[in-house]
Amino acid sequence: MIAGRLLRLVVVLLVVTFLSYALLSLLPGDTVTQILGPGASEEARAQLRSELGLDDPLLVRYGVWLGDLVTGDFGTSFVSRLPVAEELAARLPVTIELLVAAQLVALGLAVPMGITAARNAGRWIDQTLTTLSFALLSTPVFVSGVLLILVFAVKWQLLPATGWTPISLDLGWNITSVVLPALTLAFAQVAVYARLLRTDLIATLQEDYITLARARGLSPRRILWRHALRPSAITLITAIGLNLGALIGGAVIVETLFGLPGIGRLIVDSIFSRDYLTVQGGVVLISAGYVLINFAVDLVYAAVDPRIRRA
Amino acid sequence: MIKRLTILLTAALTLVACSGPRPVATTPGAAATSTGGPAKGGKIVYGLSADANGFNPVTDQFAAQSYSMVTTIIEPLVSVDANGDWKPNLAESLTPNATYDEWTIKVRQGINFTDGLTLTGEIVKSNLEAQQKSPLTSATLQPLEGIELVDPMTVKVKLKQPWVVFPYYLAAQIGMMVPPSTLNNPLGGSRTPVGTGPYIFKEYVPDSRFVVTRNPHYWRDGLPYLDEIEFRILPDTQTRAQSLEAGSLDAIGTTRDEDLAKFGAAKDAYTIHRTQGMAVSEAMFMLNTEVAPMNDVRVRQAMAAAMDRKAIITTLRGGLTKEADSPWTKDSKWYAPGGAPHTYDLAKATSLVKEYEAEKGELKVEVLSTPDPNTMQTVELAQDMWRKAGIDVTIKQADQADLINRALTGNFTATIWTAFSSPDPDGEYIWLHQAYAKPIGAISLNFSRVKDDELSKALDVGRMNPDESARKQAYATVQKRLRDLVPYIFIDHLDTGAIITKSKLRGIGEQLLPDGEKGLPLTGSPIPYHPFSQLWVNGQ
Amino acid sequence: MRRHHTRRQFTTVLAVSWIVLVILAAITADLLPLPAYDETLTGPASEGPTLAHPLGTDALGRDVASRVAYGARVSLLVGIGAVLLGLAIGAPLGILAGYRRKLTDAVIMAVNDIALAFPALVFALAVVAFAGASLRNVLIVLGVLGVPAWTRLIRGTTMAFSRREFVLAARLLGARDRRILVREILPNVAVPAASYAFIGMAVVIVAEGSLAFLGLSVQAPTPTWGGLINEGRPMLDTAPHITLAPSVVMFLTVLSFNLVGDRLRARTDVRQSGLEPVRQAPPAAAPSVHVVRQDTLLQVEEMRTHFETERGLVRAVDGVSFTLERGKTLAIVGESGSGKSMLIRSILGLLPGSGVIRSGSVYLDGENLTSYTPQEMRQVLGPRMGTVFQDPMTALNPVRTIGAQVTEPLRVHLGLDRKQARAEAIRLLAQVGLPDPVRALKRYPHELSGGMRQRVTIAMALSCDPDVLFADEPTTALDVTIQDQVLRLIHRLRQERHLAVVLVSHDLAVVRQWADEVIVMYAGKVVERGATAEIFSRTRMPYTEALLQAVPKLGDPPHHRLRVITGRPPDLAALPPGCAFQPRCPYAQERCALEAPPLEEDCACWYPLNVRESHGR
Repeated sequence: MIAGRLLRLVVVLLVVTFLSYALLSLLPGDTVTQILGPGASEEARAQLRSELGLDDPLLVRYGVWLGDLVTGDFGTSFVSRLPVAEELAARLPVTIELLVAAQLVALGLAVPMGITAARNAGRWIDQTLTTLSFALLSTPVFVSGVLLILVFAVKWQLLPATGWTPISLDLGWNITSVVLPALTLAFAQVAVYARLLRTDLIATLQEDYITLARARGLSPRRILWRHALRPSAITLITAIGLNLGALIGGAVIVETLFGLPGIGRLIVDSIFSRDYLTVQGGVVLISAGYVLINFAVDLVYAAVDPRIRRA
Repeated sequence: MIKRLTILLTAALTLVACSGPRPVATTPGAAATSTGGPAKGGKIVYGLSADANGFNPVTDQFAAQSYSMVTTIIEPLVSVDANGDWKPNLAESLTPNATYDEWTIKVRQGINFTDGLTLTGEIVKSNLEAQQKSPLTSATLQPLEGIELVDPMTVKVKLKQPWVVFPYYLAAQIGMMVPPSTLNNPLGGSRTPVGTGPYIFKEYVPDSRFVVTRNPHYWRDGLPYLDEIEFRILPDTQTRAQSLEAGSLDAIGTTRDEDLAKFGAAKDAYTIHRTQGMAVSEAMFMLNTEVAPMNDVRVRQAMAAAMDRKAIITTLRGGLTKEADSPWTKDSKWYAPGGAPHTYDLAKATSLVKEYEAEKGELKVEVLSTPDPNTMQTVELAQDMWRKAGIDVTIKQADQADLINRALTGNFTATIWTAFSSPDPDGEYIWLHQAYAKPIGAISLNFSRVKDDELSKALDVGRMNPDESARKQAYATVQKRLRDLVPYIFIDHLDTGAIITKSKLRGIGEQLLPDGEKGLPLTGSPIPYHPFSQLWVNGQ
Repeated sequence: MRRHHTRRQFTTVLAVSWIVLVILAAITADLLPLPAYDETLTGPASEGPTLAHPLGTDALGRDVASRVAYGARVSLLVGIGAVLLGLAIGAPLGILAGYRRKLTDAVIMAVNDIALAFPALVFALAVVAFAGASLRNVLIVLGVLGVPAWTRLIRGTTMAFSRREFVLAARLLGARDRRILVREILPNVAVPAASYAFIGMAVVIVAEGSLAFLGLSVQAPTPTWGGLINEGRPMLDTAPHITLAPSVVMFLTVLSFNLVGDRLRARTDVRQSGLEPVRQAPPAAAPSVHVVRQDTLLQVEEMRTHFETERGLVRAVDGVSFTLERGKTLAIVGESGSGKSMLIRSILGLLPGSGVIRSGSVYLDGENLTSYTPQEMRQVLGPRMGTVFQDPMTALNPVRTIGAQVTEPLRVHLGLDRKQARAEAIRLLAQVGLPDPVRALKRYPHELSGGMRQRVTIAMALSCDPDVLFADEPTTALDVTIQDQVLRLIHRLRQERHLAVVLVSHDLAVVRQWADEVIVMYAGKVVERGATAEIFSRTRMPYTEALLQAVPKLGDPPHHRLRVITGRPPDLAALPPGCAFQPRCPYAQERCALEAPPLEEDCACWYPLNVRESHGR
């Protein structure tokens, strides 16, 4: 089981990193110009290019990179000249905190919304929540972020507009600095989660065992929480696992808007500055994270639905 | 982040050019007459648009925002005064020989690095030698021959040719002095900068914050005033401005005319400091004179004449900027008048296009642009103007790395561009001189690949002739040739680059140089920077 | 109820109209009497709505309305195109993986995993930076990024359906895979896929905006909604209309897409759900006068249950009355769809809350249950009335242990503590003949066989010692040998506990063996009733006769379903005039098609069999 998982992780990482290496090598632009600026002489450029191994064929470069990776060496950033591992390590907690907080906020809003909508399927409250969901879904992150800052930071001055305080520095400030970004990132998720939960819950509520639970005189609340919710959560849990990639995409924008030193921004900036090794490091992290999270999701599945345990 | 692209782009081009404009005593809009003297103490949070790649002037390419952060810690040999003239800073004096191909730099006594070492001629020599070796500056420092130590506090810079404005280059990255520890360990210096400056490095979180605290042993008595400065990296212009409004920041850099209008309206609460003079960069379309159809001067003239600059300024700059027909602003001493072909004349443009098309077929042009909305809008507006003259223009987006590489290798027809913010016209030498124009495919710093003897000779005169009127004459020729040949279609002088502060933050644009002259208020582009040693908080 | 229904139709009409409008605008964007989308300085820049510019102008003085209309073309193209592309690749892969399973599935899902693990952002950035920003590339990027999700979704649905009996049957009958895929699976997969496609479209249209933010979307000056919003964002406080116009249009479009998607799903899915019991309709103008018999255990009077559906009013139960005494078994028989199960659910008040009209009365020991509040009703359900459903597979909650489910009513209704409830549950399970009840408590339903599960549901139904047991086809899903055991068990328990049993069945053999009285239902109505022996020996209603003739003969294979009666079961939303059975009735005469026969002398027929001579009608 564990061995199989590890094998899968390794295969996924190999294929993903090779593909991304190949894809990145297709990009126009020149790393050397990014580092030296346009003012460098031809010789200086050629020297740097060979120092960085940029002249080697793709496979050789990938091989060297992979060889280093196996020994735990993510390489050195072309631009900052710091070890990529160090850069990633500094930013990982920020992105993880942002993503976790966003998920919590999204679920915290979506679960009650989904339940309320499903219980009242077709009634006005369901329609209101549907409308609200879609309003959230169709507001781009870069607009909702700006609006949230406008309301909570500029008008009410309740929360800091931008900036990041690490947990290690001050827990209270850390929380206040993550609220608005997490809320912004959560908004679009809320809509998706609430819709998924609503759909599944409606389907579950049509099941015989729910009707029978009612035939046993159990209260609607009890039926909802003890009987209906758990079997309805499967799709939602899957979605959370699948969403990671999409969330990192959203995280880039949120990190940019709120000035958070996260992974997403690092990767995008590194792509723009053709800092390939840093991008590769980020790719390793994201794809490994994806595999691990989905491993966790599978575990949660089994906890939620005993039928899966056997399979 | 998109903003950062533009900033990097311009910064890259103004590598050696980050010093300031010409004489301006006070910045307009500044409610600057301080009541009472500067007060000591206090902390400010200062919003920047992008992070630095690193803080080592020898190994890291500096953009304007890098200067904001680094100059609190590391100081240059030379400063620029309010008149736009260079003045010694860490240096006590800089003296040329009669032929201007040797410069003797005397180092000021009693300046210590915060790691304890004293700044000596030896250290200056190692710094300059390291700069000479650095690939970053290899093109710029081409005329540099060697550096000699004359006595413990004096070095002599030998040049291959006369270079009358050499000291200006020492006001930027090249002239910034780091201790031997940084030279020996460039990477360390890149992360934890050490210098002689008014502040000491405290903390750096990449892409988030850079914090410096007061240097209690700063060589200039009584300075600095502030206890601590936190630079906050906020790439998004809009949320950066919001952060200032929300009180999270005390000052921000911006280029948006919306911000100037909005914060300008609240005069009591905020103060705006805008760039002026030579430090202002120019927005333009850069044309590749080597490729068809741009190798036909009529096309370049037609495109220039079809450009309604007034319309661009009223629509996209809130009417705040001035039309440009030269790399230098009209209020600078180097400006030579002569509008054509930068005068809006649709009829002329149309007839030129007709003439060209009759001869060579349909005129189609592809214009490159970075993808950020502000830049795109300029290009879109211009596209419609060109269309009215019968030129079929398509826009192609290219990210900053792609765009700069295309410019270098000549893989473009036309592109939106920002450049020309050096304090002295000589700063633009390498971008305009034909010696730097290489064929398509080869790396060419003269991106437009304009090859003109008259233009290049004038640039040489400007570089080597110490006589100011001769230099003025030479640069007038440069401007004339640029207008004749149209390698650039100038749009406007981008003086919307500004620092907006809460009114209680004082001292920007009022700093005095070590020898008592008034310093240049703001330098750099697109978002300007300024020294921090004489900033103070009112009511502290 | 009706108002609610029409309102929903109204919103659907609105949504469809909006989509049509947007599509029309997208198609005719060039023809609209507006300045071209890329014509600059058509008016003052960033000006609010005016007559000349209904949605104002943008920062370049371009007409916002024109740009939004043209943006619709691009955004819809991207939205629809990307979803179609995702489906075109993802659907075949998903169907293949879900249908073939094993190696095919493993390979496809492994590739899918890799695709999902590849950071979408890096992919988008790299492709657009390499191939250039254009409509085609954006469409490809967003389409390809959607493929893994589609594959997964379609695979899951396919798996669920390929296990269904009709597919298994087709496979057993030797149908070719392609035929099964096309005829059986594709139509069933298409429904959820279509409804997700609408959400997918919304997500893609919004995602395009994110690409625009990163400068990775279509080439300027071509507008897209996301791009327009991004362009307008810097002027949010000075010229909000530039952002607002595309935002609102995008929001309405995304919402409309979803509303239509929901309606599509609702049309194909007739099941109803709800936690709240149905509200009793106010008594009809002149309620039929009936006598409440205090000495009768269960009395049902004029029970009616009608559903409001798209196709009209469905009369699932239409005026059913009966009484039942302790110690007796009443069988309700009829074809599927005749309203048997619905009658049980109506009596118990288990119908969904919306779109249902219920009337009539239920008396338990003379108490009118239909006047009870939901809370009062919950005290009756369980302690006084127990229920067993047809399929023990679905009757138990798959994610809760047997113990949790059996003890629940004990703790809720009888107030037992955990330990007492456990002991009682063990006793109950032993009573219904479950071997090793102690171990069974810790098990999940899927770990038990069908017969065992049905025993568990019976134990649960009887746990609070009810007076009436409603058994809705309790053995249909079970093997024939188990069927008999379960029915015996019910019978034994009836004797032991002096219960009354309402047994719903279409299996007349079962009815003949275990019931005391029989009600025959057709199209929601009682068409014949009487003592079991009477019904079987002296059948009067032709429908009952047809049912009896359809009873499996000895030579039939075991577990054989009812033989089909000729003709189609009636459409409850469009019943034929006169007698509902008349179109299928071999004895039908002219009158049958004109007038509906009333239930007289326990038979609703103008020309009853076996009594024709004596009554001489």
